[in-house]
Amino acid sequence: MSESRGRFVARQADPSINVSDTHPLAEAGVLFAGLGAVFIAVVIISVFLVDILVGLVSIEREAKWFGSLRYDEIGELMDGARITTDHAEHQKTAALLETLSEYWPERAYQFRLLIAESSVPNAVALPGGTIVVTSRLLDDVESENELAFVLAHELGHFHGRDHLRRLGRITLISLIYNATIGSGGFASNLSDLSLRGFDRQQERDADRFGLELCAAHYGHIAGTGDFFRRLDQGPRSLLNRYVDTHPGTTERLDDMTAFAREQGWPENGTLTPWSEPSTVDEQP
Amino acid sequence: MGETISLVINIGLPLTLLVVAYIVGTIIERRHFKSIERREASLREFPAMTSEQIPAGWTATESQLMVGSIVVSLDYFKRIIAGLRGLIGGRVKTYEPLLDRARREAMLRLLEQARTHNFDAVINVRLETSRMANSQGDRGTAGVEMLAIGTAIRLAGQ
Repeated sequence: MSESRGRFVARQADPSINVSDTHPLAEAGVLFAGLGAVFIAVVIISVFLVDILVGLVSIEREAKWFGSLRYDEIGELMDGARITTDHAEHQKTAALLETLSEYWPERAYQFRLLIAESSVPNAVALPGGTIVVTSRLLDDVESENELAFVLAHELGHFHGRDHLRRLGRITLISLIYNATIGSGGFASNLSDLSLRGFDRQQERDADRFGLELCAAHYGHIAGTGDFFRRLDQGPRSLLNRYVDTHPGTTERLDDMTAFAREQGWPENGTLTPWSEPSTVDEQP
Repeated sequence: MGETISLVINIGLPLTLLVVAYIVGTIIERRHFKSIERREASLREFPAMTSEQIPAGWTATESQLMVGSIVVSLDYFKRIIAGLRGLIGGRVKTYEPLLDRARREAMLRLLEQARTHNFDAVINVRLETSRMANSQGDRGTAGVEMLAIGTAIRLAGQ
């Protein structure tokens, strides 16, 4: 070392003090587990909270808020399908809905039946008393009993006020999500997934209510499970679509059968035809 | 089907990205630290100090401004973990190695440059950072520049 440098002693600095020893995966694990637990707690609390709030909303108020949804707004909720009442079987279906709803005397809803032009068999209950049935479902229906159960099942959703509950939960959880993690598909999918358990319970309850109306109207429950049975045989994609939010078809049919036996409703009976035979022989 | 696709896109994709980012990020980080340690060892004898004055007894014959700079960005894994950390606060541990690398790399570049130009020491060393704005608005940051500046001096009789 030269004179002009004075007393300079070379020493390696210890860099480790600036970097923590925690393994990044350990850090990730703790954060994911901790925040996951908080999220689950938030979901459970908000579900109870929404249930309380839904009880405070009168059906008249619900109808005022949602009863005037326009066709194009409903269409957007149904994957952009065209919404109409101009369908050959609209009147008949609406009449069937009316008949079934009479078996629920405490109903306070004014039901409105709409048809969505769609190639996917489906039926949806919307807040405010609107039931939307797809044209494909009407095309596929083999008996009145089958369609009656689909409609009665949707009435069951109104009975449980499931649509409002679901809307409330999704809104609340999305709000919490957007405030924390931020908006985006990840958040909406996660909130959707976390509500699946509640969705399935709602579907089960709606099934039981639907069965009750069908049993009251027809005196038996024959044909009620046909819609699900056919879906089960349909293309995989359809099945996937359906079972994602709803309980598995077999599980569902088993539950329905068990419930009917418990209630003592006959499982067999004469099916009421839905579509009139296309060619009717002229009577002389 | 549509549901499955949206699940894959919205949840599967970020998770895959998280794993890939972690693996790639770890490999790159390890390599970088190795390179930093090797170069630091070779520069151990090269004096660098924060003092503004030339130490007493030293005689400088020439001086020049030296700049070493590096721009670093976060990988997806660090970004997500730091985002979660941001919810509850605390030490953002995933950023520490990243900024440590940036600091040391900027210093190394400064010192290596000084040595290449046959200087004997660097005095008045300063470190500066500047945040680069993200092109997609003000959410997050595109990266941070770490700038090391100092005055390189050549000593008499070297």
